[in-house]
Order: sequence, then C-alpha cells, then structure tokens
Amino acid sequence: MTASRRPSLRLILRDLAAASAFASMAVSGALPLWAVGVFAFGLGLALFGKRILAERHLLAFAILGTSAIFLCSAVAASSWDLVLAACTFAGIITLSRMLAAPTPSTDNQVHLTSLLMAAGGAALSAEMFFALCLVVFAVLSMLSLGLSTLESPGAGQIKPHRAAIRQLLVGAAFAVLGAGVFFLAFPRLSWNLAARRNPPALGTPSTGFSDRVQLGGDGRIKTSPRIVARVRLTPDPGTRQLDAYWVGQPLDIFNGREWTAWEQSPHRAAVAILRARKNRFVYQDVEILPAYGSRTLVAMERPAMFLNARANLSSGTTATQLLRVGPEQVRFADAASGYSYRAISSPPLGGAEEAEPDERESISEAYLQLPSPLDPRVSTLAQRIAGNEKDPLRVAHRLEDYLKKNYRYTLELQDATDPLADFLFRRRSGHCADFATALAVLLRSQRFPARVAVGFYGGERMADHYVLRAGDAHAWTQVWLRGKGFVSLDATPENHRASQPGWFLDWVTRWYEVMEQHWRTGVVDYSIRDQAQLAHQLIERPTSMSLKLPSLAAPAAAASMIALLGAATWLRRRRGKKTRPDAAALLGLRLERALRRARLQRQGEDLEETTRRLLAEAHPFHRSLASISQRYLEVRFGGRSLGEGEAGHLARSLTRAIARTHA
Amino acid sequence: MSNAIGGSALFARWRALLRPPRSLRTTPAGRICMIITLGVGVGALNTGNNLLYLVLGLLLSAIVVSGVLSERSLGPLSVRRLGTDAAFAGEPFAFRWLISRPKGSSFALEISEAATDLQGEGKIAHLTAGVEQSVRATLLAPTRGPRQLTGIKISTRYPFGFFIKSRVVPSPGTLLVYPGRQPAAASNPLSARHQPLGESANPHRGGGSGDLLDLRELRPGEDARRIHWIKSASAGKLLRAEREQEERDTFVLRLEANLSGGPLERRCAETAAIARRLLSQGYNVGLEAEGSRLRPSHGAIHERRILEALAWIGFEGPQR
Repeated sequence: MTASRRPSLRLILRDLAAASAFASMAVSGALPLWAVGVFAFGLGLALFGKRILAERHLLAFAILGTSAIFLCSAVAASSWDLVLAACTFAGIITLSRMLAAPTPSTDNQVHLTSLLMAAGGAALSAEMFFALCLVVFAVLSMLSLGLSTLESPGAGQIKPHRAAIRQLLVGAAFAVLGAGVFFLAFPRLSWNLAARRNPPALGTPSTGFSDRVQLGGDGRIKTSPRIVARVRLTPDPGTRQLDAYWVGQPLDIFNGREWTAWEQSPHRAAVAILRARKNRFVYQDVEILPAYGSRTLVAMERPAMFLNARANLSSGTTATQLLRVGPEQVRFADAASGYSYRAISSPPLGGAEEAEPDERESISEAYLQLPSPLDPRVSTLAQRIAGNEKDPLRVAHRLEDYLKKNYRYTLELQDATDPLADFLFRRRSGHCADFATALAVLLRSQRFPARVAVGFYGGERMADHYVLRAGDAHAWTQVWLRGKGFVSLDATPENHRASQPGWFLDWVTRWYEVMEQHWRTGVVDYSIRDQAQLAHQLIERPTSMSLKLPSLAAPAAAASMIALLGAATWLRRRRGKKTRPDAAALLGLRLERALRRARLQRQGEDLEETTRRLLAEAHPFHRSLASISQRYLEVRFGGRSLGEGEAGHLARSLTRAIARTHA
Repeated sequence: MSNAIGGSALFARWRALLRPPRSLRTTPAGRICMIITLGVGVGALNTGNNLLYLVLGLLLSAIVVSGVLSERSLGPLSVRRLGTDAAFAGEPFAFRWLISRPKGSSFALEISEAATDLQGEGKIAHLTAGVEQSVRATLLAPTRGPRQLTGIKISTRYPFGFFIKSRVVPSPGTLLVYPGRQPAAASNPLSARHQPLGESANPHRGGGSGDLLDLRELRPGEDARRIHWIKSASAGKLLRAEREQEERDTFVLRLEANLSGGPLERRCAETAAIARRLLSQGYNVGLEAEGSRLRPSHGAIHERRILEALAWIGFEGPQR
C-alpha cells in the first residue's frame, strides 16, 4: 500500500520548499516540539519516496480531522494562540499532501499550503532567519513549479531540466530583488504593531541570575558569547567598551557557602522607584533577549526607576507589570521570552569618591554578619592588610588591591567544605564570586558593612547601542559608606571581569549581531518615516563637495559592477562559442572513436561510409550501426536536436552492440 | 454609404489596435494563489507587519516574473501549419504544425487552432533556437464541414502554472472535415438495384474493353475469364488482365434537398459510408446533391472527391 519510488527532482524541490516554509514558522520558536518532530519525520519519508498516505485517503482525512478538532479545542480553551494553531494546521495539511500520491493536484496543494505557512511565519516571528527561509522557499518552489509545467502529460518525452532551471533561477533572483524593491517602495499605511519580537533562544537560556549564589559553582558562563541584552543609552557615551556595572540584584546574607538576598513581600506596580532621582541621569532602553533566561531587571549602577516594561509573548508584545521583591531588586511579573523596559540610573562618574550622597545615616547590622564558624585566619588577614587604617574606603581599597595582586583568576573550580578559606589560604585562585565574597567578608570582619552584587560588567558597542553577553555576568562587592551609600569595589582582576569567549564564537556573534541590527532597523521596524527619509535622500540635491562624492560613488560602483558583469558574460559566451563544439559533431567523433577502437572503421572513412560498407558486406553489426548512424545524420545535417543525455545513450548503445558482435 | 463603410473600417482598425496582443487566463491554482496574495496584502495593510509586506512583495514579484518568463517563451516564435491528411467528423485525427524561434528558448508550449471548434492541442516541452520542430496534435472535429482557420494559437503555462498566456499568430486557411466514418444505418443500396442479366450481377465479372493496361493477381471471387493464361503460366500464379475501360456497375447516390441540421448531418454520414462501401467493392459511384453533382467513377481519389462534396453540402463553397 505504501508508494515507494525514487522521487523526481521536481518532488524533491517541492518537499524542500515546503520544509523551508515550515522552517520559517519554526524559527519563531513558537511551534510545539511535537509538531516540529512530526514534520521532520514526514519530510524524511517524503524525501525517501515513501508516500505512506498515497492510497489511504481515509487515514489522511482522519489525521486532518483529528488535528483540526484538537487545535480548535485548544484555541477555544485559550491554551493555544489562534495564529499558532492555524500555522500548525497548515503544517499538518502540507505534510499530509506531501505524503499523498504525487499528482499535479497534490503538488499545487503542497505549494499553496506552503505559501500559507510562509505567511504564518511572518505573523509568528520577527526573526532574521525568517528571511533566509522565505528566500529558500521562494527559489525552491519556483523551480519545482517550473518543472511541473514542463512535466505535464503530453509535453514531450525530453525534460529540459537544465535549460529551464537556469532560466527559472534567474527569474527567482529577479523575484527576490523585486520583493526587496516592493518592500522599500510600497507605502506603509499603518505602524508595525503586530510583529512578534520573540526570537528563539538556541540552547538553554543562561544568565546566572537566581535567588542565591553558591561559591564553587560553575564558572563556564564566562566563556559564553551569547548576547542577552541590548541597551541604548541617553546620553550616549559613544565609547567602544562601556566598562560599567549593571546591577541585577544585591545579596546581603552569607552563610559560609552561599549568598542570599533579603526577601520582602512583592509589590506589584507599573513603575518601580528604588531611590529618589538625582540630578545626573542615564536613561537606558533595555531589550532583554530570550537567552537571558531570568525575570530580574538590570540597570546601570544606582538604579532609580524602572518603567515602560513590555513582555514579548507568543501572541505579541504587551505591557507587563513589575514586582519589587527586595529593596533593590525588581522582577517582571509575567513570564515571557523577552522583555523591554526603560531604566533610569544615576551612576558614579569616576571613582567611588564621587558617589552621590545617600540619605541613610545608618545601615542594618545584617551587613556586618559573618558566617559561623568563620576561619580565624580571615580576620587576621584583614587586620594585617588594613593595618592601622580606620577609613572604610581606604581599608576597602587596600583589601581590593591585595586580592587583585596576590590571587589568580581561574574557572577551574573545586568543591570545598569552606570555600572562602579554601580560596584565601589554599587555592589562592577563583572566579568573580570568590573574589567578591572574600572582599565582602574581609570588610565585614573589620566591622565595615558590605555586600555582594550580581549583574553584568561591561557593555560592548554594536552600531548605535551596547550589548551585554551571557559571559559578562559578574559579581562584585559593595561597601557602605556613611553619607555615600553603597559604593562598588571589584577585587577581580580587570581583564577577567567581562566575558572571555573564544575568538571564533566572538566573531560569529558579532557578525550575527550586526546582521540582526540591520534586520531590525531595516526590515522589522521599517516604517513610513524611513520611507520618507529614503525618498528625501534620493531626491536631495547635494549641497557641498563632500556630499557629492558619496552620491557619485554609488552610481559609479553600480556602473562598474554592471560593466564587469557584462564583460564576464561576453567573455564567457565568446569562449563558449570558440571552445564548445557542436553536440552532433562531438557525437560523431565519439562514435567514430568507438568504431576505430573495434577496428571496424578504415583509415579515411567517415561514419556514413563505414555504415555503407558494413551494409554491403552484410556485417552482423550493420543493423545496429545503421540505426545509430541514421540518428547521427538526422542530428548533424537534418536539423533535429539531440535529447538530454541522448548522445551518451547512443554511444553506449554502439559500444554494447560492438561487444555483442565480438562475443 | 461610403462614409458608413469608411467608419466601420476605422472602427475595426481601432478595435484591432485596442485588442490586447496576449490573452491571459488563470488556472484554478492561480486563482487560489491570487486569493492568498490578496489575503496577505490585506493582512499586511491591516497589521503593518513588515514581514507580511515582504511575503506580499515576493508574491507580486513572482507574478511579474511569471509574466516576463511566459512572454519570453511566447516571444519571437514563427509557426506554420502543416495540417492533416484527412479529418473526419467525430474521429480523432493527426494535425501538425512547424514551429521555430530564431533565438532563446521556449518552454511548455501548447499549440491549437484559434477560434474554431476543433478540440485538442499539441504540446512541446522545449523549443531551442534555430531548430524547426514539428508539433503533432490529435484533434477532434465534432461535425463535418469546412473550418475557416484564422490563426494558430500558442499558449503556455510556463513558468509556474498559475496563468495561461496565449497569442494568436495569424495564419488563414481552411480545414475541410469530412463526414464521419461511422457504419451506415441506411439500407443496403445493392438490394435496391434492378435485376441483373447473366454475369452482370457480379461486380468483378470481367468485361472491359480497349488495350491491355496491366496485369495483376486474381482475387478470390473474380471472373476466371479475365485470367491471362499465358502470363499466368510463365509467372506461376493466376494473373488478371486489366483493360483501358473496365466495366463496372454504377450507383448514383442522391441526397434529398431541403435537409438541414441533424437530419442533413446524418444523411451525409450515411451517404459517405455507402459510397465507401460501394467503392471498396469495385462499383462506380456518383453523387447528386443540392448544388453538387459528381459523375460516377471509382477509386480512392474519387472517394475523396465524394467526401469533399459531402463535406461542403450546406456550406458556401466550391460545390460541383
């Protein structure tokens, strides 16, 4: 019952086109895994020519009916989004048609439902790979449709695949270019409100944020180049590396093995105000990507306010609320794949001395709490380094310098019963959490209030914004100074604070981010304002020489490119004319060579003469040669054309006939 | 009067000028594709989703590319009609055209006769430049009679099968469709003849006068008196002498006047069938019909003349 036949080129192209259309939906990350798995399995069957639904119409109908009922119920129960359900159903229909007997009707059904899937992909995501899938789908389906018009019944026995494919490929290239021109020029009459901004997170999201930080934990996150957040700053500092601390959550309580934060009953609001706004602000428009994997908001040091929070759900972008879970920790109320918000901070300009005054004159004794039992060598060490110094900031700097100079940064961690003592007195190497903990505990041992803050360190310029990578996750120390509040100190060596990815991964992510940036600004967020700007640039008259040069450069480059292409085409054609002999003449040479090798052709004889002589001699081979020779003469002098692969077939027939005769 | 004629000629010229050089039809798949394009367009305008604009742009460009590629396929084609040997009403017959193009390639062409009731078309998957290719079609004409052929219609579904674009290459001509060759339901004309004398009832009874024209093998049932014994002896088989004037029985088939429509078609078909049967049996057959008269004669050429005369009955044309 299962139709199994090697699929033709047309069917392979059709099925791959359908797969591209499905991939355009799948890159959104919104499709359920079972749907992706089922489609991949079905695609494999189709590509191997196993049309399992070829004669099982009832089964196909039952599958479609069951899927429709399931998806409708899911939508009715609000567990599935309507667009997502429609896209999934389109995928199931396409798959059932791919596995049915290949007829012109099923071909058209596959192409049309694939088109619906591509449109569904546009509705599901704003991911850059969508464009790639769309282009692949367009090219493959155009080729497949073109071949199906040539393979229609009665259209002749010779399938001109090569010639047609060449022309169809050129057509597809023009279609893609045309789509670009249409996209740029067609007036936008509405704002892009429906785009879903939830690009998929490949791999497990990992930022390192949690309610607690355990010493001796995994430090491999430092090598991760994944971009987890994009930030636009106002005012824009314009530097390539920002080297700023991005606070996620301060941790206050240390029990000897792990840090935890004070909990308070969460307070839900649209705007979270952490402290009074000062005179100097940095506004941050933050976009959290799905690779972030946490609901904690980050902002530059001394965050004052969080507002305008929006969550990227599978159904679109929507406003979300904020939960204030600690004195300086804010989380998103709703789980989503990505978020955007605005943060306002008043970060210190330079050293800690320039920190803005804090209203609090005293601080909780909890910031002096030490783990019990604490290795007595810790206090001794702190005392030895601090000496007679009583100023907390100077003591903190002494301790910070000591740790930086005498301890080594490593990601190769070992578990220990007392991780702090192990770091300070045995291993003398660790990662940022070890350095931050050591500094905080050393400060506390000298009765200076301190805590550990976790978040990010760095900020790398990409186009007009900064990005934070997963490897930028960092922990550092904050010491409380009367009148200044918590001031950041970092005992981790400078070159180990930000991410440390391998060069290749770094290069890939940089390249991807640049492309993604162009994609978002040039395609996803392209609006009527950009169109007006583009039109203005096109019609704008250059006012100075400096403007004239670039305006001339583009047409000159285009003209050079066209001239080069033209020259290349001309050369290719000329060379082709010179070097490529006539196919019929080539066939004649092949046949004559075969005859000479078999010692059937005499010196100076052509194919026709040999045929005539063998006929006169009633040679047993003459019948086979006569038919082949006649075909050659038709092609060479009769204006008939050779079919695709016919020359090879004739030559092989001749060789076989010679072998039979000799046998 | 002359003004009126001049005006109508001008109008016809204007109409010819305004007539589109190509005709375009959508296939069912093309219609669905257009509906999807419309839907995507409405979705893009309604939501402002730029990716939907991208899909819409791709669909519209594909439609434009489809137009350009099909135009290239139909472009500089030259086609001429080879026609057919004989076309009989209600019977499929082979029809041929010769098609070529000076440069470029054409794909998936369908060739048919424009503005006629002839059913069927010839197909060619690939036409390369500089090669004149013969295209064969099996056509079907539902009724007999002359067909005024105005032009050859070349169509293509290439490249995507969503549209059928056609052009008509003017090529005036006439195709005469003979009456169908269905078995005649009419009575046997042999039963209606007068009582013969002696051997005269035998259509092969011999006779004939004049010089000896030819010798041929004696067929079963033929008169033994026609055997040329000397030549037969030397050849070792029975040979029959053929003379200049062979004597045959003569039948004149008459078609009633004032017939039209279905009855006329039926009578024509029956007459053609009777004529064929009589001619194959060696009789002389003549035809008398409205405005047409054929002297009794025999042979394949005469059969063709009778068929032509029957095909023209009821039509204005070269009736005899």
